Amino acid sequence: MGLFVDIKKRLNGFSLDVQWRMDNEIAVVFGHSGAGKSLTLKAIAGLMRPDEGAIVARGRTLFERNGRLRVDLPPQKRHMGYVFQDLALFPHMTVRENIAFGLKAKHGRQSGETERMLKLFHIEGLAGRYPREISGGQKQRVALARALIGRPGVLLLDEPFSALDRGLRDEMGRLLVDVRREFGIPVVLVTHDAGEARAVADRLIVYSGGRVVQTGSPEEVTGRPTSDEVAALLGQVIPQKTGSASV
Amino acid sequence: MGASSSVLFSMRLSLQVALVVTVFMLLAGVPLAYVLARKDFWGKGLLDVLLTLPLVLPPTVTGYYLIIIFGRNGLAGRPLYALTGWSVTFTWYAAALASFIVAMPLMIRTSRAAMESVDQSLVDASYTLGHGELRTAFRVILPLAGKGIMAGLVLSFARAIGEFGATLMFAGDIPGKTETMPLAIYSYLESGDWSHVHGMVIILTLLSGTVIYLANRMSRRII
Repeated sequence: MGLFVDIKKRLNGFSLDVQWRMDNEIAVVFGHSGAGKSLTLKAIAGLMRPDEGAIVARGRTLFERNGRLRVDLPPQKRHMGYVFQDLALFPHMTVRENIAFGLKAKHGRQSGETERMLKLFHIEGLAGRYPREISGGQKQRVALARALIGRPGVLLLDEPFSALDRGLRDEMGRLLVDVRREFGIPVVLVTHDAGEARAVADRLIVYSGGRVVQTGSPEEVTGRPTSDEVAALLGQVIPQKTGSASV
Repeated sequence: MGASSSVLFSMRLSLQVALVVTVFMLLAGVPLAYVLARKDFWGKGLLDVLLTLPLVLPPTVTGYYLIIIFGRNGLAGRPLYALTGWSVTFTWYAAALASFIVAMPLMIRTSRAAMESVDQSLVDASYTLGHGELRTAFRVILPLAGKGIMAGLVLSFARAIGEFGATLMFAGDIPGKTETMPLAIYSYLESGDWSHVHGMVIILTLLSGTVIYLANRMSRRII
């Protein structure tokens, strides 16, 4: 069982109303900025409370509200690995401290686990450095390692690769596929980059204006877009409109 | 009491008051600034106004309110006196309390601004990593706001050293008991003892200047 999301939220004139589910796979939430993608991730992680709906991760209800609030776990109880758009590495902690902060302090195996993650993400040499002293791609690895060290139930990524150049972005995409294989958890990646979406997705969830306009495998969505809008979002040539006015 | 021993007493008392104020500012000012920076609650606006008022009110007015509240016949002072036979007025505790209230706005404004400038995504990151509010405050927010908190403490210390009006109203000018340096300067001036005035003015100016220099070095954003 993966993740079930059903969210209704009104916020400053914007209305988010989405429902989708995914299995133990990589789902890419794709759409223009302002479509409600990041808001969805925040709701899953417990950083934003929906007005209505339910969020269930691997059989565990994280949020439920139909008329009255039944369940609303705080973010620290949801076991979500979250990689923020700006990565949110703690500037006053070294790489090693940043990663170790993903474990509870009482953990006896803390240092061993941290070393394991440093090795897994090929950042052993950077352990003593501060975030301002390492490159963008290295920061991505640190953020991923920190998000995963606590063995989260789901990994959520909010456009973490958008600031990288194309080559590095492809490399991070491959890393993400490896990571999913290694940790065996559902991964939700938010992006507005069609190439990135197609490259890593097992399932594409296309957003527009706070609604889901199409879901399916990348082949299904790109092969049979349900509307011109979806086709345009994916950067495909829009076929000539067949309306009453044209031939 | 000889003039030089009275000068020494005033210097020691001023330092003692300023140190006590600084310690209590750390214990009470930091949590207050945190609550104002990160919580929404009923009456927050009012609390903010109350804590800022001593910055703009004449210290004599602040002193007046302290008497109304903590004086022997005050709202809190009367039951305290009835219970213990002790009153805070005309003791050095009164001088410390007056300085504490007057310095509070400097502490709150400086450290609150520093706490508010901590990136929300860092706080969210700590939560998603499984840490509750207390650990997030101690490991993320307070360390990142550390410079602002230190600057607030230094400013509080300096303000306490220089406090005059509220202290005079609430603690009185009792040589050898509540006479801090600013009060002593005023006493010497009234009695025409200019040599002592000169000496103490120079000491106070140098001390305050050093403290402001330190605060500036610790934080570029003061008030």
